[in-house]
Amino acid sequence: MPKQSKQARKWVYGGASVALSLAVLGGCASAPSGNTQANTGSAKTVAPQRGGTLRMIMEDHTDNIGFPALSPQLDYYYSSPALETLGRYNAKGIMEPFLAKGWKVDPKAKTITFYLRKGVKFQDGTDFDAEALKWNIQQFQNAHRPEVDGIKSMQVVDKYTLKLNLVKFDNQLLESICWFVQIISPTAVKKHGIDWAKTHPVGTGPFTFVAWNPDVSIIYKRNPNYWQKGKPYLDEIDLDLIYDANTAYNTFISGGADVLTRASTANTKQLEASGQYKFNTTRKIAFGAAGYGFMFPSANPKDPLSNLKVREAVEYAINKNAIIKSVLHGYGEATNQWYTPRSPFYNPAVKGFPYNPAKAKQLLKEAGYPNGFQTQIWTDAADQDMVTAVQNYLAQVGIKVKINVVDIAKLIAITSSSAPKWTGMTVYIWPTFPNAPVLIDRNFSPHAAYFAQNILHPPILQQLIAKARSAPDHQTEVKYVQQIQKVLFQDYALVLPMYITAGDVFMKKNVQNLGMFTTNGFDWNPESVWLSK
Amino acid sequence: MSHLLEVKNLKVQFKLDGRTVKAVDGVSFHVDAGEIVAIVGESGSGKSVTQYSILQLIPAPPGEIVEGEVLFEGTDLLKLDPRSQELRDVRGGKIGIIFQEPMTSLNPVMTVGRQLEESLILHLKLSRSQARERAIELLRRVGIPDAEHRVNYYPHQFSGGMRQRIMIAMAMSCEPKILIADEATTALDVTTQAQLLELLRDIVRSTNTALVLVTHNLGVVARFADRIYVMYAGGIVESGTCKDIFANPRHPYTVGLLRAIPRLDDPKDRKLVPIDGLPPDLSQKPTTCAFMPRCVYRTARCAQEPAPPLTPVGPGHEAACYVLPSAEEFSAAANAATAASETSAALAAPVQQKQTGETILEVRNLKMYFPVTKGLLKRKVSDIKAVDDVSFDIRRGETIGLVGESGCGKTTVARAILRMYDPTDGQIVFRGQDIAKLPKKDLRPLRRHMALVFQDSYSSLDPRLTAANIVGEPLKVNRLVASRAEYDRRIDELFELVGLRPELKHRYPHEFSGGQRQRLGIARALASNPDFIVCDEAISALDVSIQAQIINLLEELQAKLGLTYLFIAHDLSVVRHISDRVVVMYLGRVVEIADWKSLYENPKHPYTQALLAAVPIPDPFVEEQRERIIIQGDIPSVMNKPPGCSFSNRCPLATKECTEQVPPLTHVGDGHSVACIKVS
Amino acid sequence: MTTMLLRRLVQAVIVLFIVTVIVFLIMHLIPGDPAQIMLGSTATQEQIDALRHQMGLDKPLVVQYFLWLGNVLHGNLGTSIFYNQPVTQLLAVRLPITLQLGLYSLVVSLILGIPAGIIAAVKRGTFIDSIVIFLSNAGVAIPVFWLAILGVYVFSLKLGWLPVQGWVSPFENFGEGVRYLVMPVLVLATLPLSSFARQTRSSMLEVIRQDYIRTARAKGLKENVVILRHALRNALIPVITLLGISLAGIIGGAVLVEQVFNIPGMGRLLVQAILGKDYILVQGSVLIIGAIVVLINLATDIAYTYVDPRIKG
Repeated sequence: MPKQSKQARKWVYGGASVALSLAVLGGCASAPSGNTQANTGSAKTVAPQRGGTLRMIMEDHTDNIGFPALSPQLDYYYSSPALETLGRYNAKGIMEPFLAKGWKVDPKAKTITFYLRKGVKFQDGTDFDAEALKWNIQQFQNAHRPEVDGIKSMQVVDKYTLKLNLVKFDNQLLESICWFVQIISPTAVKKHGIDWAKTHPVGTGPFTFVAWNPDVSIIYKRNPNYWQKGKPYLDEIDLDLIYDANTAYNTFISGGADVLTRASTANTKQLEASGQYKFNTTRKIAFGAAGYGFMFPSANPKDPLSNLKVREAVEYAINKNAIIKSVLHGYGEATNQWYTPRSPFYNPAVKGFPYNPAKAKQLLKEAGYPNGFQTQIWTDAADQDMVTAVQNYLAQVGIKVKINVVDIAKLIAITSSSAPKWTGMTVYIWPTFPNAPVLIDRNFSPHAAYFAQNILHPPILQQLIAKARSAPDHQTEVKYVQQIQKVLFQDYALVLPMYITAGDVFMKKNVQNLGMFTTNGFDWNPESVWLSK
Repeated sequence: MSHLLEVKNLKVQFKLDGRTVKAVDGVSFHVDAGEIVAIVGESGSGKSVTQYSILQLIPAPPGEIVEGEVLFEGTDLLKLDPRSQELRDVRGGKIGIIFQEPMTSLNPVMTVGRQLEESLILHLKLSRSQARERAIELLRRVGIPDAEHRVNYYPHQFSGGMRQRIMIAMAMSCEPKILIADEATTALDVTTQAQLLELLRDIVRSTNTALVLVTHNLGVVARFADRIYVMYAGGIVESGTCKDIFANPRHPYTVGLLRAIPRLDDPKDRKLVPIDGLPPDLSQKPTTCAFMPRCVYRTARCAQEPAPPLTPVGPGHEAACYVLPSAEEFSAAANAATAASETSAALAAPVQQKQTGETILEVRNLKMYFPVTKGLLKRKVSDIKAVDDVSFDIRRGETIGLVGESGCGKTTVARAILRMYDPTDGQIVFRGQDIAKLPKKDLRPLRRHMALVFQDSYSSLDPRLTAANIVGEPLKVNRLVASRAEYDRRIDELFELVGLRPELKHRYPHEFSGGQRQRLGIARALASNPDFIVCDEAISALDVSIQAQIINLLEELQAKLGLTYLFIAHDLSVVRHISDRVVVMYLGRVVEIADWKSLYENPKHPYTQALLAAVPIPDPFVEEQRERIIIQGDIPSVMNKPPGCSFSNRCPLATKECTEQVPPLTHVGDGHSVACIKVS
Repeated sequence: MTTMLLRRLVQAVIVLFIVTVIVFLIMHLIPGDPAQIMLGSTATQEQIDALRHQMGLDKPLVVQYFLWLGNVLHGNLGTSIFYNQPVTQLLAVRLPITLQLGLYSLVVSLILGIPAGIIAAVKRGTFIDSIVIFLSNAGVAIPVFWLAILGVYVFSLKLGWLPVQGWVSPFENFGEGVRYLVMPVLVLATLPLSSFARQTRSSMLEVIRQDYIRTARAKGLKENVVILRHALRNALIPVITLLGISLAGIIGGAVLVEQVFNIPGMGRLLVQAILGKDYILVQGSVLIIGAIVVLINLATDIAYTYVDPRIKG
């Protein structure tokens, strides 16, 4: 995937919170046949060794690593050595306590209570306590972040307990706060101001910030007073910011870095084949990749695609596996819904519309288009090959497609909810993160900023989303999300899903317990990484 | 007795495009201390290459000195390495050279002072400050006013004449034994030329320096040289004292040259006798006499035996010819040739007594100003009055000569008449219609009646067109032919008219010689059947033997077609030869108009007088008795005209009142007008 | 001379003004709303409108332009949308790096290119001449991008002599700095070096044929004096013209070289700004680059008058 596209997508989807960590971290490649080394497992059998510097190649795009209320979640990769969150997702997508010792959610009383670890100190020596947490959440509120919407008031119960009173119960709020609100030192920000804070992260993390050389590197050194005794293992972490994917690859193979978080399809192939490196891939995990497909103009009566039968015909007409094989060289998983089968949200009842051109023609005939029709697809240049392949398949059932290659900015303009209704299909990309109800609501609510003017909003979908958000427990939430997927992708076919992308992170063989792409595609655990000698 | 410089059997060749050009082929000559030796020849005769070879200054490769000796003060210079100290001591130290092109022979990015000092420091081992002092002195000596300041000027801040003075200063700076002046004054105006040659002679005489004058100008030779070597096709064909050569030429080529050039003291009806044909291609030089194909005296012996060696024909007089015709034979042959060409012309169209008809062109108070802009906003601050209030008329069938030195505005007048410029003011009445302000589209029907023959026949002919296309262009533009057949017929006709074989019409310009190209230019001018032709320095770039051919052609065409010529030239002898009436211009104004006879025999304006006096006559006996009027100073730039009479600052007659008013052109009788208050 | 420089200066200012208008128009006429981009896909229409108002995007284009221009004249290039930092501050860090890169490349290309051209001209037709011709033609023909990749492959990956990428300021650590500089500078210098060599060779050949060189030889000057004192200064006149063009080219090439070698200069900043439709940053950067190019041309003009006295007055 060319770099422009990644960069641009970050702008489109990463503006606030919907981050495509995958797009940034891994390109769109993944091993078709994985020989992934489960380094988490092997790491446990050997005692971690102290010392060393980890040099990790990152894409160069961040502008804010120290004031999370004004940064996309995407940037957390750069700041996590210094900044930590209240909780972390586990491999199943369930939020587990981290900086918080625990929490209590009371749907009936509409409250969430956080119980904090004692004795945790910020790197500037001040205490991490309930007041500090409150201040941190306030920063998000001040920035009008939707992730913290619905908090009526915050109450410091005692030094280590903070209680949130909610307007109405929303089971996503806990996850959002635990995931998005990276904790920073209020004292430091009050002293130096927000602009300073953006480039000087001061948190509770295992590493303290040393220097940020713009466009070159971000350097962290070991925090000796880290709250987890004995950790971290490394002396230093250098994030090398490299803009060009080939330059990054060359640096890595010349031994200039220990970890490569981004590689093109071709480079991924070479690195996997070389056998010289370990790698983790999102193909093995449930969350953190991106889905790729097309949004139908389902609510534009002038467009044949507003007819469900026509949409079904389009779906039947396309052989996704063949396209993945030819266009993506096999690096991608065909999908018929939002999540991969490895995710608890995956709904096996969604059967999708397996490739069947005869059926497609039949449906077109029934819909009153026996000779097909003319339509168009809006795409950016990066996905042109993919769209051209789709065009060929649709032509075989009589649907003639005109491809409009536009830049991302134009795509935004077309799909913006304040724009007039568009005709034809537009490229649609979504993140496969664990906070499913929020993600889906964002694009399929009638009040969404994008697409809203031109897609159907079936009442059943709205109801299910509301139910999912107010589900009292994870089990119930999962059930509703599965139902949502069926309505969205099967019953109404609002979106044509194509495939889930995936990426690899490569590392030298002595890098242990990186924690990247092992539980999910958007976090890592700097405190546990170590280098074997 | 040993000579100061003795060149023996010098052979130089150039390898170009796989051909070997024998530029100098066995030349021997000598120079003695203090004498002025002239090497005369046309372009390609090898006269310059010979001189450069003495100092090994020819570019090598492609040049190569094949054999020979150059004995200078007992040393063979050709045996020295060109980079050796010994040769470099000779170059610029003992032998100085003045090159032809004053405009390009000085380094444009160094002050003239530094260029002078360089030699002085190198050869005379002077210190920096001594060198500077000496440089100033030298500049003063060659007549550069205000030398203390101008020593810091760059070459472009000097006029051509001044630059050549600086070149002379440079060449003389280290008191050389020999000074070689290679066409040193050719590119200059006549008055400047005269000044410089006088200066040069005075200097070499006073320092007992030998001077080698390399030139094609026989007049210059006659005026200045003690001894002459005549070169042709890489060899010396005749040598002797100046008087011997002019009075008793023995080689047919020398004779041919003398007959081909018009002289200021010619009888008017003298027919120029061109040397027919072209010099040989030196890459295919025959082993027989190189001049034989053009020679009217050739015999069977000339065609069989190898090229004749130089043989004595008198004391100190040698010629390389088997025939060595006598003076009587020469004049007989010349008359025959004249008769022959007259007969041929008579056969084509009976020669009519030249009669002039009605006025075809009348120029009244023509002004052509060019704006001078200055400053940030390119504000117009003044005008360059290139042509200022010029009036004259031309009658049908006559030839008007327009003469003057560079910058006098003669070319501007021609261009204004042809409406290549839009005149600032005045009238140009052509065939009864004032065309000075006529819009371009209304000019078109008149255009075909006027034509222009350019000076530089090479750059004015499109190299990508065939000769036929070049000549035929006006036919197409003016839609003068109805059919392809007529077009082809007319082109053949035009080719024949100018003396070119129609078979040549599919060739490209570079395949023609200079004279032939000028014929092509004339054919093109004739294509639209014009009445009136402007010849702008049309023969200036040609060698003398070819010049005569073209002059004769123009005269024949005039007789045959009744053409009217405006003949612009700086060569006063040629103008005298061809013109009926002559207009003399100086700094944008007409100073004198008269018929040729009154003008040349009784010039009234001091400028005209000086101009004529400056023209050397190729006859040492005449030259001996001529009175010299050398006007001082350089022609000012048109931008800095003196107030009142433009000539007042150089005029021997000028008084205060001359600077107070512009003298009007006044008729002094017999169609003779002069613009000088001292005359009328 | 002063008048000429003044006129050039006025022309330069006009050119800069036109450049700003064009840049401003381009950035505003291509689709995409900066406010929308900044706020991302979760923003509400109200938020977008508020930001548009705050950024002045709801004003007519002409008003926006003059507001921006007014700020520029006060030394305020605005605040980058993406970095949310003053543009001047962003440039202050990156511009010196690009300038260093450009300057070193220029010096290298002059130091190597001009002597190569002189030697080739003086030894015309020899083996040395052929080598110079071949290399300089290759240098002009080979795409910089390809050269960079080749260089990295050979010198970094295969031989391991030089680092693959990165930047260390030579003022902080000279040895390391030079190691990091060698490849980008050579890659960037290749094209101008080759052009200088070619131009010097051909104008030397032209000049050597001139009459005044013959004059200099006829004076008995040593050949190297003839070449260096008389020929070179004349031959350099067209090289100076090329210098101006090459400098502009070096600035352009720096964009690419900075990408490939991961050098934190102006070029990378500009590319990111364009891709991100950070129009304020683009405008500021282009204005600065334009000003540099204009200054370079001005300097070239001055150099001209120094080398060629005919231009004075």
